Amino acid sequence: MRPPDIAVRRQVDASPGRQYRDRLTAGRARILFLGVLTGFFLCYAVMAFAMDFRSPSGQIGPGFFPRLIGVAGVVLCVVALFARGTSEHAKVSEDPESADLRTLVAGIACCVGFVALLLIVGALAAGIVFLVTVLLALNPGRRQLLPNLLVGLAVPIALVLLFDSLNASLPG
Amino acid sequence: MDILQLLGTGIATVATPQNLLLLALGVLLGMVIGVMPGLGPSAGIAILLPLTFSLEPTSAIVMLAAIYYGSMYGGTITSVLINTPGESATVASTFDGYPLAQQGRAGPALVMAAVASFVAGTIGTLLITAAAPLLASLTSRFGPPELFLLVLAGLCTLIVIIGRNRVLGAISALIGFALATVGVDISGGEQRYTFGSPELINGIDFIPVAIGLFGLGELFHALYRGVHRESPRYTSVSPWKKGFWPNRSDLRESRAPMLRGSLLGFAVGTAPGAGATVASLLSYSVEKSLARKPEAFGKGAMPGLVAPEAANNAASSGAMIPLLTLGIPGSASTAILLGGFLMWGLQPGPLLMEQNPEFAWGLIASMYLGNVMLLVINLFCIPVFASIARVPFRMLAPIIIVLCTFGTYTVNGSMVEVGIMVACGVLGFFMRRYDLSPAALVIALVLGPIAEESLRQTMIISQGSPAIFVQRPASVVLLVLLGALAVLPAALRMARARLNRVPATPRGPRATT
Repeated sequence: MRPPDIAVRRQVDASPGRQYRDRLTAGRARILFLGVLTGFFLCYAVMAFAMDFRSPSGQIGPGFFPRLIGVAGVVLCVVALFARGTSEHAKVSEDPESADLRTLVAGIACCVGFVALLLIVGALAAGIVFLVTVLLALNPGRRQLLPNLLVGLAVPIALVLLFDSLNASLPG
Repeated sequence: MDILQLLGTGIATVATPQNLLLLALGVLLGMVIGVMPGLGPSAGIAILLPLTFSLEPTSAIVMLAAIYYGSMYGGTITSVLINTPGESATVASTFDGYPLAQQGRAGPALVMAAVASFVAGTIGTLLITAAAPLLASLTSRFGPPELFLLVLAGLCTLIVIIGRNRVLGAISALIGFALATVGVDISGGEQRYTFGSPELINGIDFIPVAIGLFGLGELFHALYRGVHRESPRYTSVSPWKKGFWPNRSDLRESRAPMLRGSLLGFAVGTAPGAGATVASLLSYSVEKSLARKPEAFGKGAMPGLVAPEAANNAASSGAMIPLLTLGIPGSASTAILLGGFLMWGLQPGPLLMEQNPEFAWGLIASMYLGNVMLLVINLFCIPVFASIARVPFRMLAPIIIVLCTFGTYTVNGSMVEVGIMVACGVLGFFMRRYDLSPAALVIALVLGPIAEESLRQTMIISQGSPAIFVQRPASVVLLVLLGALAVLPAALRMARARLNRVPATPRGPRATT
């Protein structure tokens, strides 16, 4: 019996120079992400300090909890930034070799496009257009054309009918 | 009314044709979601939650619990067949499950895993039946100070035990708390962080956040890792082929590990924050240390598969204890279940079993029936689910996106929530990539309002004095527990350092004693 395995993996340049550059980029991206989180908590805390700490009756006001969260968030993000920037953890912990940033960005863009399309043409048409387009892009080839079209048509129709039968409304 | 009578009422509530059908459907849908790469029970429950909105609460929660158990087992199929765990709780199942499949024993491995899940689920449910009412009667004396400390204890356990980095775990929880403060302030009526949007006045619903983080977030991460480029080949499994069923030796050597895994898993699962992942890894380590041939582990030892499999299913039952009796979810999946409870107007906690006995006992009864259903469906449908796992990720990914989007929209008919879901999908990707914990975020989002309200009530009772936390015996016990959780990582680090130092010392009588 043939042993099961995951067969195809992209061939990559695994030279030390490439690995170093990958790690450096990933380390910078991590710092950027933590920086964005710090900014988020900073804005959150500033807005929290504009709210009342105590209510007129002397009880906990609407700003009490947000202030705690905002200040703790900023402090912890700075700690994480400092720890990440100065320690071994700044190196990327996951495999950068198979990373596919282009497909990820395209996937997110397709999602946003799908949501926009939902508003314009409704659930069924948007679902069909989105599924057929993405399936043709991810699963190319003449032999795949028919399965792609069948899935692209059948799944949105089935989902719309399913939600309809459950009295759950969909756009359009 | 005694426990057996209440359980009988629960079974009578659940055992209607409609509920049994929903139970079977839930198990099937859960398993379908579970075998999809990257999607685990949390994503399964979050994505399929909107399908239950038109049902009455008991039927809906019966179906959701079935989805929970089904998806827990679904992950095992991919762990054994393609060495790809559906989620972290089934990682330990790959250690010996995949080597068994490589040896041509995928059939016995999957059947034994199904039997282990059934045994553990049944033991777990029996223990819930006994323990839940006892714990509920104990915790019914808890007031707001204890509830607040319990929420903190649950999150601390999650951050300390699960997270690889505690600071990042705490940041994740704080993001959840921050999102929970959006909307109208419960006491004063003031709007917070709504930016004038009427859609945000009622706050951010947990469903778009959970679907985004667990559904889209996992999917984006899988795309980034290049899973869509992989062309997996699978071992074909069929009950009609020779060698599909386990032999006597498999059954004999699995009995004790199955029982140990079930008990250990249940105990670990009851601790808020700890969960199926910890339970399965711990159980694997225990079995390896108890085994006569520990060197066989990792090379296809049946006890190395059944023990973690039993543990992760028993932990799923155990996680229901803090959920039902304290209203504190022990995992991301139970946090989503808690959100479902709240949506149907049910407040889990000490009073749930008193005020809604038919619901609470109906849920427990559905676990008994669900386990039987899971075993029957598992044994006869393993080849079907294995064939679902054969569908490449590049075909499944866009279907999951459509399902997530439609599901989110149907909750409140809001495009803003669809936008929140997509934004949370992107956030979920970054959280995974940079070691933050989406589970901590969702749990904090669900528990945030409970924490704020209970702290507010505590301060009203104590007239603003925090001394109340050290004046009540139950609060003191919980404070001690929180303190222990705070020092636990440091204590473990010291113990590990001491253990590592021992072999490094020069050999001699003093070093060996």
